[in-house]
Amino acid sequence: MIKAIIIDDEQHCIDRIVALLKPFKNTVEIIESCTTVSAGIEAIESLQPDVVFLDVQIHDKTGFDVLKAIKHPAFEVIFTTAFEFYAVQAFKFSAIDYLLKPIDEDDFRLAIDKVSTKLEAKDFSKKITALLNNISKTDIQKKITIPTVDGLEFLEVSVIVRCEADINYTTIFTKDRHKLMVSKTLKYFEALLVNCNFFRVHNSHLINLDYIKKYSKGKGGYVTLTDDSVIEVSTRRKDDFLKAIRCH
Amino acid sequence: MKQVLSILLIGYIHLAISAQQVPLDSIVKLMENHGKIDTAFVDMRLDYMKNKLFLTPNDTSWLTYGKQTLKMAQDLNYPRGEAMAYERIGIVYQHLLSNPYKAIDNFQKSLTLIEKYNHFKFLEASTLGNIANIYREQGELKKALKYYKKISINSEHRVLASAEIGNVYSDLGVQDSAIFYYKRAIKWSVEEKNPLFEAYTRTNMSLILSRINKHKEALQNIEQALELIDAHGLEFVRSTAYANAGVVYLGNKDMEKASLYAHKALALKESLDNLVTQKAIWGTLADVYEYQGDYKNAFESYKKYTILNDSLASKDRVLEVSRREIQYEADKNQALAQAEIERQKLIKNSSIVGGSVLFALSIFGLFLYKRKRDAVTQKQEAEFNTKVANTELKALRAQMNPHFIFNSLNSVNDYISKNDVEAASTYLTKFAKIMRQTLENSNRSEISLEDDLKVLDLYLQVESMRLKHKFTYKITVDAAIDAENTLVPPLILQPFIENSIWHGISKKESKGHIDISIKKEENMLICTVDDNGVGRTLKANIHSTENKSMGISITKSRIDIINKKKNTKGAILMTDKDEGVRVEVKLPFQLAY
Repeated sequence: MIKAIIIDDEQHCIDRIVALLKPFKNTVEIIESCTTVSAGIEAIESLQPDVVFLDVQIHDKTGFDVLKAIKHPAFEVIFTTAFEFYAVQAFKFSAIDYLLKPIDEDDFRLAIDKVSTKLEAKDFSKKITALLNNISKTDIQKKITIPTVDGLEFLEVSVIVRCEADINYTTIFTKDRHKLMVSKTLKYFEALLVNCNFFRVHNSHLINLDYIKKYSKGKGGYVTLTDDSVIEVSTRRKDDFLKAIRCH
Repeated sequence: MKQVLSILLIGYIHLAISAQQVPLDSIVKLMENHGKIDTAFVDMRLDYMKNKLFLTPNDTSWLTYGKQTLKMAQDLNYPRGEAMAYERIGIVYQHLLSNPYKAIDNFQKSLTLIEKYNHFKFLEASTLGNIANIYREQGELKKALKYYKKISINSEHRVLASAEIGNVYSDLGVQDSAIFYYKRAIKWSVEEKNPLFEAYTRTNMSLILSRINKHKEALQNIEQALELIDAHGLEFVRSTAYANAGVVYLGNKDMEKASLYAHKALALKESLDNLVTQKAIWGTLADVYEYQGDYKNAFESYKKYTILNDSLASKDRVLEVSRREIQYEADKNQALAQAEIERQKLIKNSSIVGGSVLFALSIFGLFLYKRKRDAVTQKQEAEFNTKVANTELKALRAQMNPHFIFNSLNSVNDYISKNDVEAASTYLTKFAKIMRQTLENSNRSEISLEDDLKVLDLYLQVESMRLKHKFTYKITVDAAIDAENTLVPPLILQPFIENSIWHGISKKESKGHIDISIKKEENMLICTVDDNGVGRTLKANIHSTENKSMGISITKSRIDIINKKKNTKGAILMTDKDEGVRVEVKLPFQLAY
């Protein structure tokens, strides 16, 4: 049985989650629901839940204040939010689950399924540390959480030189010539990193503009990165790419 | 070096003087009494000039006098007087001003007039003679010869002309021709009974004959000359004749007579004035003394001969040198002038070339500048147009959103009024999802076909729910298209689908179906929305007021702008079928990478 706590300042939101959890009454048990940050902290500390449905904006405080107050988080967090762009970015970076309000049934089901399978992994505290770190930092200073075969890897954005697509996998190349194979599409990383000086020069290549050493002219041209890899620039991306490096 | 003893260096005018000697006083008197300027007065002035000229050779006013006379003749239109005035001026230049070239110039003018008017031909011979004399003095023997020969053989001056030709040939060393002309002069002088010219010619000829060792003939001629001199008292020729006689007798080995004539010549005052004569005399005497064994006198004579020879040679040389100098100066001046012309030419040419090159370069530079400026302007214009187009597109996309939102709210409302709360909640949640994605996509001018179709699918799901699954739908993407890598403007098809649902399917009594297919044709993306609804005609009958969809007109404008911006041929084609409507949207096919 998965023990769940709901923290949200609006009762109708709590009611919605309760309603959505009805089909899961055999697997998920709601042990407490709170409408304030302090009540939430107390509940978590005393009841030790497996999963917490956490609202981002709680009166004049946030869900992050709840997490900061917990010394050794040992639970999965699912954030619920209406439309907080900066928070969503942070969730994405830290690989923290989130649900957008009004919460869609299908999305909710997927989130619960994920929680049930991931509970064994027990990387909660690390992920939460990463999230708290990312919330206060600029995009470049952020760390991205990368699920690998061995578990989670936390990688600073600034050490990533480039990403290369391999169908549904992506290989990440770091500054110290380390390679990471991730089961995510290049599109996923593009969406994540596009505001951190990354540019998709090709269908299969996303590069960090900070690591460009040289650009050779051609139909589309080629870029040489500091790790001496030579990456082809797609003809259609050439103009935008040149604009990007000029602004860079 | 001149070989002949020329005794008549002052030419024809002297002969003319002796021919018509009129007392000067009477001319002056006539002129004073004349009182008016007419041809007769001009003739008088010319006569006066002719006669008075050599009596006052230092009078510098002669040139002015001549020119005044010329002016009078010209004013009177009296060519004969004009020609004669020119001749007088020529003589002034020749003898008084020592300017032979000006002299020739004036003689030539005279000659031109004489040739033009036939009635004073008699003046021609003396003018030609004067020109010839000048050339001879200047050492231009060939030219002199030419002018002497122009003198007509019918002229009163033919004897002297012939004799002078002989002299020139002699100077040129052409002895045969010299003797021929001398003989002709002698013949004519005998005919004309002119002992002076006969004696003169024979004296000169005897020297030539002696030179070419025809001593006997030389002797005959000089003896005849001497006889004529004595008979007619021709003092003018005497000293030359004595000197020549000395030479001729020496040639005939008659030393006594040679010595006699040499001494006779020496005794004459005229001989002392003529270096050539003196030289010949001393030459003769040196030979005579040597022959007689009087070496002392021979030596003395030879010394004098040598001195005279040298001084004559140097005199000739001076003449030659001065001529050369003049020539050299002329050449130099001409060369300098030529050099200056060349220099000017070079400066001109290089200025032209340099100017042309500079001009060409500036034109070229201007051309480059203009081209560059045009390119920049064009680029700026293009950039500006793109910006305008982008702004317009953004505005249109922004218009799409409220339109879409309120239409959606309308359908949500419709749903809630007809269903239970639970179902309405689920429905609304789905709608929230569509809204979220639509808003996200609307920030971008192009999104991947995949993303756009995802939103459309959600939209169709929701609408299908609302209409209680009154219609089915199918989205087909051609296998040749990579939906993830193909770009489309967001929500381009949505208004057409909305149209199909609200006006085509909802009004239909039976179940409907909407087919959405995406394929590629020659660089164009063909998006088709095909329904089997009531169609436009019927639809118009049912609801005549809403025949124009806001969404469709916005979409049309968007495609127009995209066409302008990218120079493509996007289009919307609506076809009314037997049952329903088929809309084809053609968009430029675009890949993301």
